[in-house]
Amino acid sequence: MRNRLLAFIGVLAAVVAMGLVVPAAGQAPKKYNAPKTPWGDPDLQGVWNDATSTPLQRPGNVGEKGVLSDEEAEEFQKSLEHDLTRDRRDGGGAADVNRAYNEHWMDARRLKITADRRTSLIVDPVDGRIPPLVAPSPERRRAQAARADGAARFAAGLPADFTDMSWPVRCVVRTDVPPYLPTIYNNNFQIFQSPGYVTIAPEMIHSARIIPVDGRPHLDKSLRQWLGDTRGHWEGSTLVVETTNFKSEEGVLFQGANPATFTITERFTRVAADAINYEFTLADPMTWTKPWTALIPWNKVDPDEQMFEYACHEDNFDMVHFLTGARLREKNGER
Amino acid sequence: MRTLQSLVVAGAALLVLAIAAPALSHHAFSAEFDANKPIKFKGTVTKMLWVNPHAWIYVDVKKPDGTVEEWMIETGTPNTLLRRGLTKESLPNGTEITVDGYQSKDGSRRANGRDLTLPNGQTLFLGSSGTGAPDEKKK
Amino acid sequence: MPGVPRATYMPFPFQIVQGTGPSILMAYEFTSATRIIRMDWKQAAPTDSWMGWSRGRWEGDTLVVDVTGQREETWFDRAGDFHSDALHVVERYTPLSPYHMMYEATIEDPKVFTRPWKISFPLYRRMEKNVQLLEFKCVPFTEELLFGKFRKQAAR
Repeated sequence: MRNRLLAFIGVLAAVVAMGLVVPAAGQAPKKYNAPKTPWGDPDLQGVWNDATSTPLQRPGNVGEKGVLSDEEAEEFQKSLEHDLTRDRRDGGGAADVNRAYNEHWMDARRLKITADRRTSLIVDPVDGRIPPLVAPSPERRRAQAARADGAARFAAGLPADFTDMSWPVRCVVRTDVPPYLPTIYNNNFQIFQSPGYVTIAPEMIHSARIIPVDGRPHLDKSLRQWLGDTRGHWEGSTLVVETTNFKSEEGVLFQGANPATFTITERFTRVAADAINYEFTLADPMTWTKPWTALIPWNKVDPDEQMFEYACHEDNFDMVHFLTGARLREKNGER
Repeated sequence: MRTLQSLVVAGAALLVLAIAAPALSHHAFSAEFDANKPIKFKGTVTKMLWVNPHAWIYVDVKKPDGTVEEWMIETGTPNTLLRRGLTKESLPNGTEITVDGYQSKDGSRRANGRDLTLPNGQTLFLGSSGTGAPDEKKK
Repeated sequence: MPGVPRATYMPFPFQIVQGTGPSILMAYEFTSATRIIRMDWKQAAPTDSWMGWSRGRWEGDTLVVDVTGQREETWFDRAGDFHSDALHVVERYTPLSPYHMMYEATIEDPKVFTRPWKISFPLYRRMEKNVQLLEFKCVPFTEELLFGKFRKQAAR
């Protein structure tokens, strides 16, 4: 299967399959010598933004293309602003209400075509798509069904209980649980380094992912955390990060992966003064038929910009509104 | 040409799908706000809560019979606005704004602020800041 | 999140991540609270936040942090000692040895206190092998209290 794909796609696929970074169109593939901290670690420090126009998975109509041509990129850029802007009011009430607010509340970067012009963030498998899902065990199927029932009640505006809301809506986790994926706003991470540590502070929700790089072991298996327990080490100029000890709650991990069997490896490489390549590989034999890898370019933000505190639960009026709204509607006869 | 349009639309849709993955889904607003209950009215700002996950603008709306209703308007994350150089002083109490949005499904005086404009038609905040914040400079 | 100076004397450890840039990160185990101390920022707090707006500078070996823009809802303790949104805290962190730091905070709030007042105590470095901050996400512990009463009741 793999050989057939390689023969079909040619050189580009071979480059991707070898796990190399897909060179951005027009960017010379020369090695960048990242500056080092005073104690000799590659310097990743700064405030970084991971907004991108590239979808996670390759869209169906682009065939096996890994990178857009100049002409396609120009067209895509023209269309991006129209398609994704929240300022548009077309499509009827149902589409309109879900756009929520105006574009000035959103991260403007996602409307600009990403420099490398890839057609998917996923670089492995070569088709740019998440591998097929494994059939869930009866137990997992029941758990997933229960979650889906809750989500359906929530979508109808009639949640039965606070557990019908998702973990992000409950302000337990947002874009802070790895892998880091971009969203509509607050796509910011600040990296601090000190001897023996690399620390990543995501904006949503506040926390400090303090990563020891001194080779110490992970926490005991019995200690479980929402954001897991992370250890890092340097491979050349790449920070390689492994996270374990995720809590057993369903629905926290990407695509509802099973915390007991899920593994994630992340790689951070400074590839330019203002760019970091963030790569992650996810594996879970109970969820995906094989591991998969995505690459997301991070861009250094304007020095005048910065991160701001993102407290979430403290002023999460949503939870009260959802629940009291549901009880009121039920009282008025809605089901 | 058509293929590329499909690419863009499918791409956007897949991006939304990816974003809607359990780990970081932002809630569907149609769960709370009713697409069949659009509202549009003028109101006077009485306070703005610059908080996450949603900033809230409270407006007093004068009805034809002279009574005043208080509405609570849900907006986005204030962090984006702060990055554009705005501050909690950027929307003074007493400012008249037009709220164009959708009312909450339970019928209470709460709506999401789909479009907020000043009386002269300028989009709120873009029109009223002009602080020369970095994001504005870039545009 | 507990605000400043309370975050410093909560019975949970915190970590100072200094880096080589113009910001210092303070990471608190309690509620995974964080705050960024900006060493080169002149801007005033654009809005209020739970952990405040921290601007730092050096006076010899002492880190001096000026904290404004705190949410008025935080307390100094569990007994309800409160402040207003006019709270202004100036902290001083002075290393005494590789294992001790002296912490001092001057608290000023003209809307609440007739004059400024100071607190001071030593901070002790945690010396356990492989010590690390553990996660303390408190949201799940609060949900039943806050939202349990809105649960759909079983039909009678």
